[in-house]
Amino acid sequence: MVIALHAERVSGEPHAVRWVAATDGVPAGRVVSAPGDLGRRFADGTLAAGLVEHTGVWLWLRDGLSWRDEGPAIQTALRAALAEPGGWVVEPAPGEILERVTLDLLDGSVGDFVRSHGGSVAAERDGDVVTVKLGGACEHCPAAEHTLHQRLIGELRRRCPDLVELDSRGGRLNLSLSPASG
Amino acid sequence: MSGHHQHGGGTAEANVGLTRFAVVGSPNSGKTTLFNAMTGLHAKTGNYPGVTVARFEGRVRLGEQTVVLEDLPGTYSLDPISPDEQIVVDVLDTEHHNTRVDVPDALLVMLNATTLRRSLGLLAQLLQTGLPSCVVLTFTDDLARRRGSLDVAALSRAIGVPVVPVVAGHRDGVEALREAMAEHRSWATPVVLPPTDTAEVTAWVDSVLAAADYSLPDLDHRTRRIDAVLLHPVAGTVIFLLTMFVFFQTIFTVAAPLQDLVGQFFGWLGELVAAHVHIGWLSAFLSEAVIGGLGSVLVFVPQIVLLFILIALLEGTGYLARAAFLMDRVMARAGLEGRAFVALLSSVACAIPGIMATRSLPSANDRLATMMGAPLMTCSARLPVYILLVSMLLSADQRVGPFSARGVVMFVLYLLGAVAAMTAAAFFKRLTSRGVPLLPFYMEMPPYQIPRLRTVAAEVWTAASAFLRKVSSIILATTVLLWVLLNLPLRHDAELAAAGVDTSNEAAVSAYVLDHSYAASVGRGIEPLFEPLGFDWRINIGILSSLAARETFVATLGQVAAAQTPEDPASSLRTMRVQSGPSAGRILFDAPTIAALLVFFMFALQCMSTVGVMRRETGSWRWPAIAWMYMFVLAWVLAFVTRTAVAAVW
Amino acid sequence: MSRRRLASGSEVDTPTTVTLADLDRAQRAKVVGYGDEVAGSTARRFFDLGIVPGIEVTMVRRAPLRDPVIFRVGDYEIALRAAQARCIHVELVS
Repeated sequence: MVIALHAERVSGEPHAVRWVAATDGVPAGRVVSAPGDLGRRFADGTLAAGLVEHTGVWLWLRDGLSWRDEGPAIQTALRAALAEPGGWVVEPAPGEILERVTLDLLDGSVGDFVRSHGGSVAAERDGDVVTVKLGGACEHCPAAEHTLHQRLIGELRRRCPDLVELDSRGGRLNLSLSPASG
Repeated sequence: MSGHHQHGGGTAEANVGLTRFAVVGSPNSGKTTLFNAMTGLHAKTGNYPGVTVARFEGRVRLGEQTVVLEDLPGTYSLDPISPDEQIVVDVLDTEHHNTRVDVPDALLVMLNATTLRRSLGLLAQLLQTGLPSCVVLTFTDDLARRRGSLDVAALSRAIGVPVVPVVAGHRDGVEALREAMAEHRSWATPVVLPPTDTAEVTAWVDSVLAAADYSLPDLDHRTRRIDAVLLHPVAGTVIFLLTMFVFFQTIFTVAAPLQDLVGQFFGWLGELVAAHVHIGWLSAFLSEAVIGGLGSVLVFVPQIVLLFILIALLEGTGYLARAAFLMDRVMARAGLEGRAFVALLSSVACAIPGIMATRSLPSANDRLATMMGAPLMTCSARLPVYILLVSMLLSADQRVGPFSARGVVMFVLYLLGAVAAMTAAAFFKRLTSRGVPLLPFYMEMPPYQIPRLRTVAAEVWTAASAFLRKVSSIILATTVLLWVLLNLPLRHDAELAAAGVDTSNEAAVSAYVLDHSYAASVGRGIEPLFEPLGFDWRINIGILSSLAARETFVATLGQVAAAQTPEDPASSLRTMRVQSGPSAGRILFDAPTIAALLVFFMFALQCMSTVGVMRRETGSWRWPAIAWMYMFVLAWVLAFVTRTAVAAVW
Repeated sequence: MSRRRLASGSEVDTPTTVTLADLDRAQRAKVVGYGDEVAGSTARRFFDLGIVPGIEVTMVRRAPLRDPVIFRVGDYEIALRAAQARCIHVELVS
């Protein structure tokens, strides 16, 4: 069974690619080492960093390399590595994961929705807590708060099943991932 | 099925220097509809150099800029299986191996939202070319109707290129696309190209569709229900036969009132000329050559247009694909396939759109074989000739059982035309397929649609304008030329008197001029060739003129009759006698001769326009020349056989 | 099904491959692969038409003269002749 996989750009980070795939069995967190060819690329510095989330793997290329050239080989390596979930070593990074996923969503459908209403939305991270704030036309709108709540939380939960919502008030959402699985 | 384009003349050279967009996608992706919508009816056509594939280009204004839009042939893959698909590969070859085609600057990739899983495979191949691409997503309305869903923004992120949804008939999508095209230099590109290995591509497609929340739970129930009837083994066959019956009935009965109107119009024109033009020769020229010549042909325009409309409607609804499906087994016996039936059916209206319809056949050999048989289908141009000859052969009240004898003969002529066409196509398919591996047969069955008025109008206009162009140029030129040849050289009174002609007898004078005209010399010159068929010089010049376009035969005979017996041209043909030679004195248009003429016209390729289209579609003069020659020989031999047989039994 | 004689003398059913051509009306199946006799270009064409291992297919209807046959492959309908349908191996789905 060939693992379903595709690559998406990360806005603002030309060296990053979010590889969308099911990461069943691979623990979420910052990549320390990976099995097979992928692991070798981490070891030799081709890949500067990696982050595993529930619905994909973020990979950063070393400066000076291009995804056009390295992409196909890395794709093959990643596919092989995902088939060996036990061979991955990660360190928990719940805050970083949550921040990236949130930013990804704000860059995409959820953010589009807010922006189409004339508002703005931003996210900030403090340790393991990510705070999402509405601005612009949506800042004091109760409907916006509610909708943001529903949409963002809904989408986030799909990507991070361990999402925990901390207190939220006045146009701010405070979010964190539950500690056990990071 | 094949989309339809305007076909004007012109080449692609005028477009050098402008930004080129190529529209690429699988058949049934809405490609040609979009192309027509963006270029209006202003597309130019030609051929790709050295091959038999037609090329469509048009210009689009994007604000200040003008860009070129090229509609590439529909393709399922960049692993080509037919000449059409090979062209797409050649055009998109960024390494320029084929320097005779221009690589486009950007691609518009048409993806049908209801066949997205399959279509994304083609996108994956196209992205490998590295050309800036924008996906044009079509049939999103059908997707919604089938309770499907798709997150367009998510799809765009997943594939890495912009996606513009477009619904046929709605302006906004096309407007958004035009804006996107203006910004083609800033189109997003995939950060990593999709995989090329087949298993990996399938996995890539699965991943993309999941990310885009794609679902298509329902069948197209409407199509399923309609097909349950139209493709039912019994009901479907009956409906198909009925449709064919209606099709053929249109030829004779439905258009009749309109034809009468056209006939009356030309009659009125003729009277106008007679009343107001007092210069003898000019009056004769206008009424005989121009009005007579054109009139006898234009009378059939209502019927031809009606046939074009029927074909366009059948194609637009998707029924022609079903007709091809029903007829495939029969066509397979001739080595062809169902889509060839559609091309032959179109030829009943006129061989020109019929030959163009062969583009829907993926196999180059099928295409050629069908083209070589198509002119044998009884086209509308043969009708005036058949009607004239049959009415001379049989009277209106002669019957065969309960049917009118004339009707039976016409039906037999149509049937024989179809049989001849199929046989010829089968023969050429055999001939050209020696040792060539057979292409696998597959035919997508598109959902039924309500035909778009604009598309139907464009198709009818394309076909009708080709016919009108033929009439206004070839037929007019031929009838004028014939008129000149029949009336020259002019004879002085002294000459006439010396020949024993009573110069006060108008009939005698015109008969003499005719008998000694340039046309007569030519007609007598080729008499040896046609004498065994029972033709004399008058029929011969009719045949010569008909080589340009069949319809002129009637006009030419009319001019001969008018010149011979000005006061009663109608009965003139029946009473004409052979003037010299072994059978002098025999009625010219006796049964064996008429039968021979009918058969001759059944088989001979008498249409320069058809030859021209064959040349364009095959890329060289070779095949049209072969077609012309084999049909001439066939026509002559079979006419001779017919004549002998009829003479023996009549 | 064909029967095979084991060394012990008893007979056992061995599954023979089912092809698209064997499907009855409305029968559903999943594509498992192409026959060995399929030319490379034909296999590629099947792939490009979406007839790939794993995709669900349904036999929709036959032409009045038994050939060709319309199949639903994934989301769309396509007509194939028996010669082609025989090359595509499937396993039945209940």
